[in-house]
Amino acid sequence: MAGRRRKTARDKLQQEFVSEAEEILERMRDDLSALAELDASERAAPPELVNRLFRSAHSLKGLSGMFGFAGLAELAHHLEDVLDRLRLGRTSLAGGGLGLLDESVSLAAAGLEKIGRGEAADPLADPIAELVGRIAAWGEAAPAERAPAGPIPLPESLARALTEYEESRLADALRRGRTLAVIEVEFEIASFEESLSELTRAIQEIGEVISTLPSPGAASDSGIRFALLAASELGAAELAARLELEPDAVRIVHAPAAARPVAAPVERAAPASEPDAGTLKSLSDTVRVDIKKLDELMNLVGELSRERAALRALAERLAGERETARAAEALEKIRRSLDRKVQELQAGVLDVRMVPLRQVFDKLSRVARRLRIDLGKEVELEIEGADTELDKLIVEELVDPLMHLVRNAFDHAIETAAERRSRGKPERGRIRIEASQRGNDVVISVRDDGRGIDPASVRARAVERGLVAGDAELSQKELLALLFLPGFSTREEVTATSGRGVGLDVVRANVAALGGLVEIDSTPGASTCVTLTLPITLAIVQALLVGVGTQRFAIPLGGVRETLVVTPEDVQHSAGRELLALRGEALPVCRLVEEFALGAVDRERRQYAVVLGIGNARLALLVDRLEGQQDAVIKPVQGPVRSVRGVAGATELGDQSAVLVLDVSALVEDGARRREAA
Amino acid sequence: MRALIGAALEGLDEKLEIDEAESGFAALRMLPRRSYDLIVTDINMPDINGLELVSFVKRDPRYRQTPLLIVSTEGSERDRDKGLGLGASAYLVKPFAADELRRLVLDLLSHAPERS
Repeated sequence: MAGRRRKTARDKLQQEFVSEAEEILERMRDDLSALAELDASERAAPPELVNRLFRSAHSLKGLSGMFGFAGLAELAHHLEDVLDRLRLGRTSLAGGGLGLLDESVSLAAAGLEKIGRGEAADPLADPIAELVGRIAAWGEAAPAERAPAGPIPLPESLARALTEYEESRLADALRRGRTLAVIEVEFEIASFEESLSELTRAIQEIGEVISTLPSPGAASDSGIRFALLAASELGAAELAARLELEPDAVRIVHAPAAARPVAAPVERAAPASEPDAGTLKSLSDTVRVDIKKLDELMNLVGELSRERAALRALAERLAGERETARAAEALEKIRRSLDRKVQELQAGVLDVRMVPLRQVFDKLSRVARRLRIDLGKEVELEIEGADTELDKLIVEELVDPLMHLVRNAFDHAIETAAERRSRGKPERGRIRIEASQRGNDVVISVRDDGRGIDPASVRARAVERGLVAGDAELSQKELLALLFLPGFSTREEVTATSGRGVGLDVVRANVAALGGLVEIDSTPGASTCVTLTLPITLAIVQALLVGVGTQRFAIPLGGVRETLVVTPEDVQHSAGRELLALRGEALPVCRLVEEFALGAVDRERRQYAVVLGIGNARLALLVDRLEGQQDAVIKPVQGPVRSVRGVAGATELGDQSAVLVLDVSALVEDGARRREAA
Repeated sequence: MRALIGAALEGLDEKLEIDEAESGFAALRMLPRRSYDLIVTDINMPDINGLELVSFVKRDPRYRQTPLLIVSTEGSERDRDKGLGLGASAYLVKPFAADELRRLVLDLLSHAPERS
């Protein structure tokens, strides 16, 4: 290694190696402690777990070898070897095997730390030789009994693609007298992962997936077919029913002789206790970062944006002076390039915060499966758009509201099989969850084909509670919106009348706290659809600056639909409320000066209307001035202003002044409600 | 490892475009979408294994003639042989030198059928 430059490049490579190897070891540690737990309670380890350990050792070996860390590669090689034998059933954990595995991982981690600190090129020679000797001794001393596999009764295409490991799983299943089934399914290529993972997990609850063989679909470009080789104790019909498949999708390729005893219950318990094993796999290539660190980064990016604006102001000032115009030009060039870089940085940091909704949807699938059993209702849960990405913080906050909605649909909306039959509906109910991105929003809808909501009973209830006047004219949409009012209904009452409404106010509050909006729509007797509209991220927003009197406010651009000039004549009055007619629609008007009691209202003055919108709701916000756009990192406000409705937080501007950021969802919602009350 | 292979091939030929699939599933999604002149796969992958991927590729009429390189470690000879049996063109044992990989890739590409 001669020369300084070479050394730096090598350092960088080394860093990459260390972080990737660290992740592998971390995963191995997790898996080993899961293995130890199972071992302590004398349960058999699920094959996926041992196989994952093997794959980790395998990756570590390959990686260390490629980077020239021979000692580490050697250790990993022996680990891989012994784990290979373990997963192939050729050795067992008896005789201190677990301790040796632990020791190896610790030794590798210690070595890696030294490499990371640059203390040693490959520090492990001595301790490794010693440990390797013990591993070899263990592997030989603890041979597991293993019956010959015999001929494998499989379709040729499947048999040809089985790895040695899969063959050993197959042999194991045969020894345990399990039934082998080939399950054939076809999925859309764009979304097969979700359906396939779901199926795989369902099989793992009752048995094991030995192999997953893909082949091009019938309509070659949009479909993909899979043949899954599954081992379980179930026959074709039971398996198809359990997996919710058509009967002809399941073909038994090997059934044990009738007198064969079933496998010991302890062994069967193990895979079922690890229903998440499949999802853990997807974590393999990721680094976990505390979201707070990302917030700090985002704050820094926000501050950079502000400097950027200050720089622009300075450049403009210099450009105005004759003697500095030249310098201003150069400065402007730098500023523009800085602008681009800051934008890239910002996009990069935002991107890191994004996670797919899949993790929430997977939870919903599990909840649905449990509800199916608990409530004894046949309900199909369809999911689309699990790849849609949202800010991690938002995704986490969505679990409860969505869970609520799915439970509601299961529990109250979907009728019993008998009821559905009598109404001429298919016996099996359906809940469809769909997510998609629309501009800066993500829209998630939960739709069921249950009994729907009867507007008349909602109305009766609202009148009874004094929420609306008896003769108020309300559209269906406005009526349904009443369901979101706190305390509108309780479980028993609504089940008897409309079949819905449990905790919808809580759902609304949760979603509103994220700057989102909930809407509900229903066709009585046929369906209900709840739609959540959410911003993609909470961290940084483009904001429109507006002025009222001497005050300035920032409005997140995601909530701004358009801006226009409004003369006093444009504002109409109806039932004591101001309305703005816009392309045939009457928007409720909110004067910012009035909303925050900033001074006297001058109704004769020309104003700007900022049309705010979330979902389908609109509001015209009247302000004195429009002052341009800016990036804003929204920070919580301290002090008395904190609890003022309509304020989402505060942000600092390029000139170092602080302004309040308006809460679009609260303003729009209040506007809509006032209009209904009018 | 994938990034390493990508890096070794990057810049080998300026006409070479490299797509990396982070998993077997990702590869299944990518393959029908574009057309590739060479496919490199490991045997040990978390979702589907390399053999299953080879089998998939070789059943797609578009890729029947496309060279396919298996990367495996010492000790997986049986799996590697099965891969060749399924139609893979060559294999490379880890650890390998970047030059070795480049030579093999150029060789495979030069024997690949011309695309229309």
